[in-house]
Amino acid sequence: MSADVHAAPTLDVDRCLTDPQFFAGMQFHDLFRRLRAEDPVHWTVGDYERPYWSLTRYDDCVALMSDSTLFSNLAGPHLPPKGRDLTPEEHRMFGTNTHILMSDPPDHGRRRRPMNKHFSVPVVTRLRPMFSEIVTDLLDAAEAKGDFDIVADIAAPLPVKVILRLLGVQEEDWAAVQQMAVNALHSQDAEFQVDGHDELTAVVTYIDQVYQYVLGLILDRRATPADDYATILAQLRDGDELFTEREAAFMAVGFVLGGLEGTRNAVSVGLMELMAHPEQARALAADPALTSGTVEEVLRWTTPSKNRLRVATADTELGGKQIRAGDWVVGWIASANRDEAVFDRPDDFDITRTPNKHLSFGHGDHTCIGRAMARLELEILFPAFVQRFGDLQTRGEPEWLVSDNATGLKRYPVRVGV
Amino acid sequence: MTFTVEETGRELVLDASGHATLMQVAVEADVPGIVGECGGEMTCGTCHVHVESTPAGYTAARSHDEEDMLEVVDAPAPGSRLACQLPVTPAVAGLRLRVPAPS
Ligand code: HEM
Ligand code: HEM
Ligand code: FES
Repeated sequence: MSADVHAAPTLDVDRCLTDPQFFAGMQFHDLFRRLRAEDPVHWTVGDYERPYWSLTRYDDCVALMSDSTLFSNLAGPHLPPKGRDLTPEEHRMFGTNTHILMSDPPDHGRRRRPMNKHFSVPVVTRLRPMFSEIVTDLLDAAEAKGDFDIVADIAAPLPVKVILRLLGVQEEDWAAVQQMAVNALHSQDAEFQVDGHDELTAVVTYIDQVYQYVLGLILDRRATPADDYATILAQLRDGDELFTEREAAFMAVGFVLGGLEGTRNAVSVGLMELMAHPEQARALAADPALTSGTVEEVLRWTTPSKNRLRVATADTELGGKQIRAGDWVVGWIASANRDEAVFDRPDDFDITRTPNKHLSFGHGDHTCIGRAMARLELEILFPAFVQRFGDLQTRGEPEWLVSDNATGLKRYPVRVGV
Repeated sequence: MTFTVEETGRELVLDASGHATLMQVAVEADVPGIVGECGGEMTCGTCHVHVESTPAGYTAARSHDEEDMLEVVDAPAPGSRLACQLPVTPAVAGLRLRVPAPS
């Protein structure tokens, strides 16, 4: 910890917490460690437009996500860029109170319950052959190249091929849909910023592109059902009533964004850590029984989506601090996943860690609906990757994405050993 | 109460006291085939059992959401239930459940 952080604690901590650049990498964990010890429910007044409470302890994050009536999702699922309120027009374009990620009880349950079975473990497990084939093809292609990139050749295409195929997007449109999702979700990184757009405007613009695309798909499947998730979403019912077009299409937006973003980031950081811990990679290659432990540890370690945003709907108390109705409360699950009160040696990457009750898929009503799919992708990829590539060399440093939410790499060039 | 694990033929007689649901009893005792991943929120479908015999006085109706999830489990049967929806009550002792073998 640097001396100047001690000299002006509040200001510097808050500046850091409101600077996306600060979060590129893993150094931010030093600050979270300090906040957990010194001010675990921290009023954050930095460079964002709105101040907010930063929760850094596991138990407080669980409390936040456990009560979706007291803590609303309607302002957005995570800190919006620049931490500003969405305008009414932006809310409309984000589908606030149309999809599950941004609805509260009882609407949330009404929309989510009919979907759960389609994302359940038994249903997803039946997809294993399809996922395995995709993984094998990706590894074959990477191996044939010799020089390849962990992100461009493995981490990014894996969920694109899995999720967009499941949804029923035709293959010639995959690249375009992937680009829309990247532009929408990486607006804090200069590399992905589009000229003349404020960061939040970029998110709105590209989420709307995704929306328009999947709306077409939903309408098509309502007319002509097929064997895909677009058809499942198109036919969702709330009792006897079909979901509205907007509801069904925004479910598909969540499928695309949630499906592409989290997995890519978990894969990129997970493969980097396995390469950085060759003894653990060798152990996994030799013993497939370590697979589940590897997947859970990569999820804990990475925390692909760092923060959860909630708005208090009534005055309440958290960790001894008085929270007022209307306050923004941010649960830093990336910090909760390194809480020394819950995890032994929290800063050690250890694929044999047990128990490992990380919060990377959230908790409570909004717990990730796609977690069985994400886990299956990772379960197939990690052992296959370390078995195939026991001898990878790096061709450059990993480059981190700039985001106060997403934790992942942009690039990591490697070479197959000779 | 008794769990029969179809895969191995093993029979486990378990004490349900201290637990709210039979999923919790099974997870605590590491009954193979019962994971209880969602903790009883009916989102995962990893606690499927067949009820073989129900003691007098034990009732637990299937909700609509449970019926929905039971449509997608492996090896569905007329006695299919989600163990997370089976409460521990004083009448539970005579309950016999079978964990279907993975397909
Ligand atoms: C599962 C992993 C997800 C990750 C890692 C993720 C990441 C991100 C990122 C990086 C941004 C850009 C703003 C920022 O950097 O904070 C963003 C914005 C947004 N995402 Fe997500 N997202 C995820 C899931 C979803 C899902 C499933 C939806 C469903 C519709 C969604 C809806 C939105 C919306 C509406 C915004 C703009 C408002 C806001 O930033 O809160 N996200 N997301
Ligand atoms: C490693 C990959 C993933 C991570 C880390 C992740 C993370 C998360 C988290 C933290 C939430 C909670 C949102 C909240 O509390 O506000 C969430 C919700 C959600 N995720 Fe994921 N996710 C991943 C993969 C997926 C996949 C593959 C899909 C789609 C197939 C998906 C779709 C969704 C949706 C639709 C929600 C909203 C659930 C609700 O609000 O009820 N995610 N995800
Ligand atoms: S524990 Fe998940 S459905 Fe029963």
